[in-house]
Amino acid sequence: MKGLLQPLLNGVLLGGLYAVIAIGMSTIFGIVKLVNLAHGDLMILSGYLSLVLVTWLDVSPLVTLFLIVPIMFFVGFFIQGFLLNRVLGKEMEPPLLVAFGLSVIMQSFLLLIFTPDARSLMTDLAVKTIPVGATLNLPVLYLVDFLIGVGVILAVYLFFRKTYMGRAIRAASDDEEGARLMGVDTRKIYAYAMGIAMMTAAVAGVLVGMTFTFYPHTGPQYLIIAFGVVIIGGLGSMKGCLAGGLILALAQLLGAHFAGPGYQLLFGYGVLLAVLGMRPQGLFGKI
Amino acid sequence: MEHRTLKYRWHIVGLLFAAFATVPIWGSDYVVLFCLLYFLYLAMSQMWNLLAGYSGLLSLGQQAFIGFSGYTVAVLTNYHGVYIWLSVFIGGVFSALLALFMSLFIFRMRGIYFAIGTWIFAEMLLLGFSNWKYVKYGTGLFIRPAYPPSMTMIYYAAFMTGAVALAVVYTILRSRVGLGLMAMRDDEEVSETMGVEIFRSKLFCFLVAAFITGLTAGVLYVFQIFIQPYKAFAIDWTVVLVFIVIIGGIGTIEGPVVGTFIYVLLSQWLAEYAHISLLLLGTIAITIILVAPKGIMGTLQERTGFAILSPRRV
Amino acid sequence: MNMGRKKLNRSRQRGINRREFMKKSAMAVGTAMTSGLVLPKVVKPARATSRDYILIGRPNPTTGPIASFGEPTPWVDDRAVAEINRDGGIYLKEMGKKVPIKVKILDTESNPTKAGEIASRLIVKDKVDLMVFYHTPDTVNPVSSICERYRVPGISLDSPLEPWLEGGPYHWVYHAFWSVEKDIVPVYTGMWEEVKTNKVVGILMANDPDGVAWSAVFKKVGGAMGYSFVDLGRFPYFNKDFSAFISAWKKENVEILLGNTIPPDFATAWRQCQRLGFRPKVATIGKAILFPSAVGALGGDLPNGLTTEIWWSPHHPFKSSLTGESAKELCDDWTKDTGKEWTQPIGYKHAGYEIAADVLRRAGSIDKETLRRAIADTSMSTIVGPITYNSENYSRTPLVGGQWVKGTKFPWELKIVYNKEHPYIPLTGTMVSMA
Repeated sequence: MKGLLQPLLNGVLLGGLYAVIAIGMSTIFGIVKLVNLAHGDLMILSGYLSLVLVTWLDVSPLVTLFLIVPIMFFVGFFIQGFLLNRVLGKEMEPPLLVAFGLSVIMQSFLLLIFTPDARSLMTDLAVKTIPVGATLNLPVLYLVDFLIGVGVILAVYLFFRKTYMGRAIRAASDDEEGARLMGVDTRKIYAYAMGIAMMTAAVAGVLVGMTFTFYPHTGPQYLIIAFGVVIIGGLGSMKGCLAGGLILALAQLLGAHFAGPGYQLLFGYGVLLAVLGMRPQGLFGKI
Repeated sequence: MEHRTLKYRWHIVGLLFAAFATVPIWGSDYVVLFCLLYFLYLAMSQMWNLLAGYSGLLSLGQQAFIGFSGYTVAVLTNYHGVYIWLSVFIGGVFSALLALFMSLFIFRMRGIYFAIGTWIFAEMLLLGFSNWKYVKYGTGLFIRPAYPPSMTMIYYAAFMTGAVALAVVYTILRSRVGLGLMAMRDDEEVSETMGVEIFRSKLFCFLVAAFITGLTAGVLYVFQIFIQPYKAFAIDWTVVLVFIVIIGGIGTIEGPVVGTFIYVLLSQWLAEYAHISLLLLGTIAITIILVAPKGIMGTLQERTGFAILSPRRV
Repeated sequence: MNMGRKKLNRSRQRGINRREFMKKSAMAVGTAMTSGLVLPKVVKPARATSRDYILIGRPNPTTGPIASFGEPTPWVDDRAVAEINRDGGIYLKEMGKKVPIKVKILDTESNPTKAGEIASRLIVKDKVDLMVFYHTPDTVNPVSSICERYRVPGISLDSPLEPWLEGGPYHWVYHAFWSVEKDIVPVYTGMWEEVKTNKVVGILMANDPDGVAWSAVFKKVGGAMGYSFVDLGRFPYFNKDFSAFISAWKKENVEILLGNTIPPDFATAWRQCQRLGFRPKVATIGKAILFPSAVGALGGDLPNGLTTEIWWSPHHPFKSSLTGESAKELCDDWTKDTGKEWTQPIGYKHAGYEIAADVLRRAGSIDKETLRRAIADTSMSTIVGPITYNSENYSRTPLVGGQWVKGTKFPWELKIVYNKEHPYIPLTGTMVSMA
């Protein structure tokens, strides 16, 4: 039992990071009914943007968020407004291809500008730990990831529940036809939604950059984490996103604890399939 | 114009067939290689089209069948000395069995859940194979039959899978199964009145697609020789298939035929620009889809009604 | 409906209903295919002999996860080709004159499947005379197999011998690099001997060709040398948590960390080691800390004292047979032109052209079999050391051990701290314990 505490703690903290990685994708699916396959790459783009600012201004990566979050809002707004909106229709496949295209373009672009070198957003937090009791260590950076992650999800949740804008977006997405008849420009609403999703991606990108190293081609590995989280929690659900992140991370770490580290990721996916077997729409998903 | 094309369509198809069947006689080595790649990708993209374009099964996990079949071929030829083409066939059968097993889990999921479910399944296979001593973990295997087949043999195998894939899709779509699926695709209310039958039809298509994708992958790895789990089970495969089908026109038989040609041509041509080849590929994909949202053949058919291999009985 | 039926009727009258058509065409195709297999090619265009240059095919991982290896291309390639072509190129007996060499570089996208396709294309479309390729099993294994199939001579470097030999025996491809069992093990254990430890080794190895081969070899050979191993098994790429490993190492009192992973995974693992308070006396890691950029990305003081293998450095006392420049001069040139620190693949990339030029000069021909024999007979000194191929088509290159320390010119510099097997490569530092 004593040996179990550390993986449990790490799992919960990592789960918060997983959740913030997935929240943007979940939001976009809930509102625009679009699977943004470039989500991971856009996250990594924010990581690189932060790197540029850190080198220029010599500030902490967390401070750069004040600039990067608005920048990414506009990136998202334009991607949705000028590209994805034009292929949105009854079929799910054309936007899928556009997102694939964006993903490859982004990777090649980052490679051309930043070379294949490894990068990281280094802070003093990276190796700090708070000892808890005799054997337990609380990694500060993971704690920061977790707190910011939960904060972001809470903010998104409140935005869609409490603000006029958020409710308008939800209403438009629930009844697209009705909204259009009322003279609401649903396309613009979608662009806003994507902008908001990209704001969360900006936070996720900076946190990931601080916690791990990244390369131009790193995006897709976070995409699949995001997929795992949203599928467990249910697409479009904020609560589900947090629950999904915790379940996936805990499943991985407990899997590694009991079955050996080679089975860590396999265990995570196994739990995922088990959840889907019981609830094909995810834990908090609507059908 | 339209009538004339239709009248002679079987002549045209026959001529093309005969031309491709004799490629190793008249073509240079490069033409053989080009056609070989063409038929392999054609077979796989036709199958993805059958799933996504006709059966409403958006699969992002075709790489599960590709890797599984490739490994079946490698294991059978290397460890058990099975005749190479027989092991390719068994690879196809194993893929279909895998699909049957997968369907137990993922056929309860719908739409995007299904898509991600298939992907996660492929990802699990990747992890499973890279953790499996029998197939040398992540090291990969060289497929080394006792008598390595010649390029001509491999070409004919590829040609056969391409032709079979086309014929199978055409036949399925003209059968009761296909008509039911298309009725469902065009009018969702129909699906509610024929629930069970639709489920069976979808399952049937899923199994057929797995079989032929597996068969094709077997030939592909006989051509490739080296197989390694991280790329055999990678999503890259399905990305290529999505590219081909959507560029060509989803939900049309001609779509993958044209799309595959464009993809193979592009990938050969873009390889010359090592640093920016993927950048160009992505840009071209987005441009085409913005200009012709239903893909090249889809948009062409919409504007002119031109279709050589319409599955619809007029 | 009506129209369709009418059409069907009409075609029936003309005797080509579909079923019959299918039967006939199937027969025709069957005949055609058999003839394709049996008949020789009749109208096949003859091989272009009028070409007045020699073409070398160069599949290169320009993009994707192993792009760091491919990065010095085309810088190295352009320089070497310019040097070979300086006085007209290579004398060919067939043409009775000197012809220049040309190089075709295509991107493998770090993907073995793509590498195979690219190699096939270089051979059948561009009709390369010689294939030169490098960098990890992902490039070298598939390209070697394709060269064997098409019977094209190939010069291959920079990928450990054991995974490459799996695809043998080779007839057309010749390879040069070090062996895990014969080179890595003595160098690694040699470095460990320099520091006083309890000889308990923790293994951190990925589930890929390198990780699988290394862990097996080390456990086999190291056990006999008195080392004990704490091995929890291989892990897949992009693992995000290593606490299970680390707590086991702490419990077993591991003092030596032995690893072979891709760079991002080692960064994740090593940071977590610091957080969980695991500090081994020695940490020797293959592959992950070859490149200064990957080492720097670990952050803070984390790279200090890490040890790894060195297959090439500016301090290697070898000269280029092409340009006469020393290893140091090549590295300085690279830094001058790109502003970046030297990396180990640069030397091997250059050596590939040295071997190619030497082979072509001795063969004086682009006949495939003549070229193959010339490669087999190679016995030369290159910028990475002497190259002489054995009966299994490979040549072992020298390996020494190095340690990353804070540098003067660059943030982190790799010092040579162990050279017992190859004392002619000078030491530039002394091995220190990390604890």
